[in-house]
Amino acid sequence: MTDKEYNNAVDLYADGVYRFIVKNIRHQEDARDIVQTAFEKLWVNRGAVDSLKIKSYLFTVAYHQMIDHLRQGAKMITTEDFETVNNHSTYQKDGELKQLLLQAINELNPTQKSLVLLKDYEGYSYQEIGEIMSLSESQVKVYLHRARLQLKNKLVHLEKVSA
Amino acid sequence: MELNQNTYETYLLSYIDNQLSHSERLAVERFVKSDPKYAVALNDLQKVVLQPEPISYEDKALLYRLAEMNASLDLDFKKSLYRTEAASVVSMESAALDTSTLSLWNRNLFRYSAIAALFILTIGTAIKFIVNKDQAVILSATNSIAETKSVGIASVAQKLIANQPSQLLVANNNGSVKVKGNNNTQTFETPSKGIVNTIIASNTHTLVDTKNTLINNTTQVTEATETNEAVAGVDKEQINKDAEHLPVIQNASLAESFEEINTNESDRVIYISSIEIDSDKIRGFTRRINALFKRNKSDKQ
Repeated sequence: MTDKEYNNAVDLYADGVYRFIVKNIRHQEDARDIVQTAFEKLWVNRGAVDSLKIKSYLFTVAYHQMIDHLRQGAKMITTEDFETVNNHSTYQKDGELKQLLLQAINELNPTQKSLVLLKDYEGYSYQEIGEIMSLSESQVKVYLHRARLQLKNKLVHLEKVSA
Repeated sequence: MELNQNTYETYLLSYIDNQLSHSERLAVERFVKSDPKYAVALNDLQKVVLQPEPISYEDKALLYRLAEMNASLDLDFKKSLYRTEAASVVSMESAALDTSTLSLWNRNLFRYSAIAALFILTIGTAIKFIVNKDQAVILSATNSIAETKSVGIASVAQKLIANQPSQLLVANNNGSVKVKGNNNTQTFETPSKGIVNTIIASNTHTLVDTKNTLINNTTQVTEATETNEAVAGVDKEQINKDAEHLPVIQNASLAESFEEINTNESDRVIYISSIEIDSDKIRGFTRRINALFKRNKSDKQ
């Protein structure tokens, strides 16, 4: 990877990596720390990183940093949670489904949440997600499908409660 | 795996994940049209697919490597980058457009100015000065006590706490107060009779300790009153009545000054005197400074 490719990677992937992390851990400052660390590692190892694997490398490093962060027992309560819980009775019609979905996603475990975010936000294939999260393709498929069904059931339940 | 009523859910999940081939997708769409319940099932699953949100990383400017940019990127982009990094140094903009005309000294000067400006800006946003309500209450309470120190046993105690530390203050039920020190004993006459009070005076002059001592006084007055009732033969109602007239007890603002400590991790705040500092902002500030220094170091290398 050249120096120019590194700067292009900042343009192309910094927002995505940050979104993936902040949606997972729900703490902005911790997420910024993780993104910065991921790019520092990319810069240090730029000689060894294939140009075609830059995005995957960044997400892999950021994901493992995030797992370390979660293992350290970091708290994951933010304004978003507060708003989700407290505005439950005042959902507007347009944003109602999105709010309910966010609430349901926050109840997934970190692995399931990462699977959903990598699939829906970044559009990775099962194989690519497996490489990032150190899982086999079949594991990704099973875990992701399980997460989807869990979300669907939760959403149906929340819709009934809010109706 | 054949698509049928037992396996359709797996196919639908793979369908919404875009993991099926073109022919498989067509097969699923035909299957869904065969029965409305499958269409409902697909619709329910499609609801749980997240739509990407426009979230941007604000500190992107700190991630770029400027040495490489100076060599390859266009002037407009460099200009925007410099503006981001040192927003307050407006006069730099025209100079930054043509860095080739600047001497090495001037370029370094601009860079250090940018860092200094960023430092000042971040400090300004990171630190908020607020009025510490707790301390205001304590100060108010202390002033009130000072105003009423000429009357009552508590004012004598307060005076002794401040002036004669490490002494045992004993208020007898005949209305006098004895102070037992290492070498001498002093007696003070008070207007309230029947008050039995024992105060352990500590040698502190801080507001907090003063407040704690006064609160201890309140508790000990009640305890000592009951203990000495039988011995002294004093009317309990009279004692309680006198105790109620103590200035310390009457000062309701002391009791109101207590506040439950917030131990919530998400409200991490550092208090230095009356200055409230958000630890997240401090972290952000140190991270940005750290990123700048690391990048400059690596650029030099």
